[in-house]
Amino acid sequence: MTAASEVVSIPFLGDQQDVRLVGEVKTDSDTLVTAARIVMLGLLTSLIWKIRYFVGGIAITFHYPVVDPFFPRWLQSSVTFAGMYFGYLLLLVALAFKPRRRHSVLITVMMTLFAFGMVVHQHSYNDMTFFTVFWVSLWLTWFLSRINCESAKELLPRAVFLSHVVLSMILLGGAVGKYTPGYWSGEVMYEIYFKGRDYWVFEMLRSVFSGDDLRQVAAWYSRFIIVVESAGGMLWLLPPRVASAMAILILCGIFTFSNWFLVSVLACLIGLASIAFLNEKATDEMASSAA
Amino acid sequence: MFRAWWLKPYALSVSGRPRLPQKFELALVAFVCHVVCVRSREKNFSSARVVERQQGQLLSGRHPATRDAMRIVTFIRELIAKRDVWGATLLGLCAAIGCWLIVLPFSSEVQRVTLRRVQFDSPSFANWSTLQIVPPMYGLENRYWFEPQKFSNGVPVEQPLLEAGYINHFPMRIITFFDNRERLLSQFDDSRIVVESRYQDEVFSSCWSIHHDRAKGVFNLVREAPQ
Repeated sequence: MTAASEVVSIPFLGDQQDVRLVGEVKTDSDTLVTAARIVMLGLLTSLIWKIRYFVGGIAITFHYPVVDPFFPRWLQSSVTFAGMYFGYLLLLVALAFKPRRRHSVLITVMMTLFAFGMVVHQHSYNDMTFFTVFWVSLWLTWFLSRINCESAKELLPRAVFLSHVVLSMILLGGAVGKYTPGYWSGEVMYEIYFKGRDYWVFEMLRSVFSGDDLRQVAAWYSRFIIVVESAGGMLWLLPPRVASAMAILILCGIFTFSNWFLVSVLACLIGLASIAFLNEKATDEMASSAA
Repeated sequence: MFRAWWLKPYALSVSGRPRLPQKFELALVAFVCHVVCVRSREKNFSSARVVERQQGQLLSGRHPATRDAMRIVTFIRELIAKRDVWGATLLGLCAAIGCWLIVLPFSSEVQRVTLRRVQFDSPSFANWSTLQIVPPMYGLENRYWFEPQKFSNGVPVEQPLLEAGYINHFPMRIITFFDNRERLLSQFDDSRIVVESRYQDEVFSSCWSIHHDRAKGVFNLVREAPQ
């Protein structure tokens, strides 16, 4: 067992580290850092999934600048967008190498600000990738602000619950927006996806159904999504691992049966949901080390 | 007032007239939910189950929060114990947005604010930015009509509608987002776009003109006054 005086002298733990946790630091460190890295991997996947599209998009906005007085000038600039996008990526990669660094919270705060900047930027306000990245960045900021002052046993259950609250809120938003006749009748989904979308699910359905039958399939597809997303809004009420398994199933189902571009929107949420499976592992490690 | 509009297409699609009284269907759903909840409570809170759970936690060293039926109670208790202000803020923010979303189907005022948001008609940019943290994905019925414009002696000549359709998230992305921006703006110097967002009985429309300022090399997007 390491002596308490030696642990307190570790620079990055600072004065906040509880001396009673001396024997648990190594296990906790590994588990909490793993949790942070899983979430960061999700964020990285989200941002690089469509990187060619975004880079191409930046070139388009240089050639076709649209001036809209509603947005501040700096939020219509392609340079600002490129700076925030690549700045976020750089900070994320730097943080992933060493999540417990002294200024990790400052880095995640900057990442969150960049993500929010992209959420309100004229070029990217409509891309839900940046919206989900923003919320996961907020969660990560909170998580890294606690990582040096709590053990895995204390922090992970809270982190998992908070991740389920964030996931529930996002899925509820998707569901409630569809509580309108156009979605329940399937008309909107028919026009957006079934009519001409080049994706295997819709190509297959178009080859099997046509006319009114295809509209009926679109109606049931749309209703199924409404029901599933509404159920997803109640994840925070479920047991942790059940909630996470359900969230991952829903999120994977959304991009599998809609389009692969949605991986960029959902990858960071899948990363966030995955940490619940570390929870039991961490606490079991604690139990075995205590025994 | 409760309106079971979402059952109408379902009921009408089967036989052309309501298959069952709508109240009966709702009562059936409510009954099933009630039975599931009661069964769940009985299972989780029976004295044998509670003792078993407590023993399980003691033996395995598992944290109580991983097994609590109401995790939020444990979460809040620990937030207070740890003085976790940032965690409480994040939870409060999610709860506030959740409340906003739950109210949306029932409040025409919230619906109006939401519809104006997706068409950049919020009172200010700061107001719009605040609303941007509310999840908008694949919600509302957003439609657009895009038509190119030509002028003869300063008077617009009527042109045929180029394209129209439903569009997800934000209707104005047909002009502002990457590939559509290139596709439409590379073809026409002047054009006009009408967008409409609908949620239940609330509808909000706006009309925009796009003009290519060749001297400055930019496309000016101007909202036309409502007629």
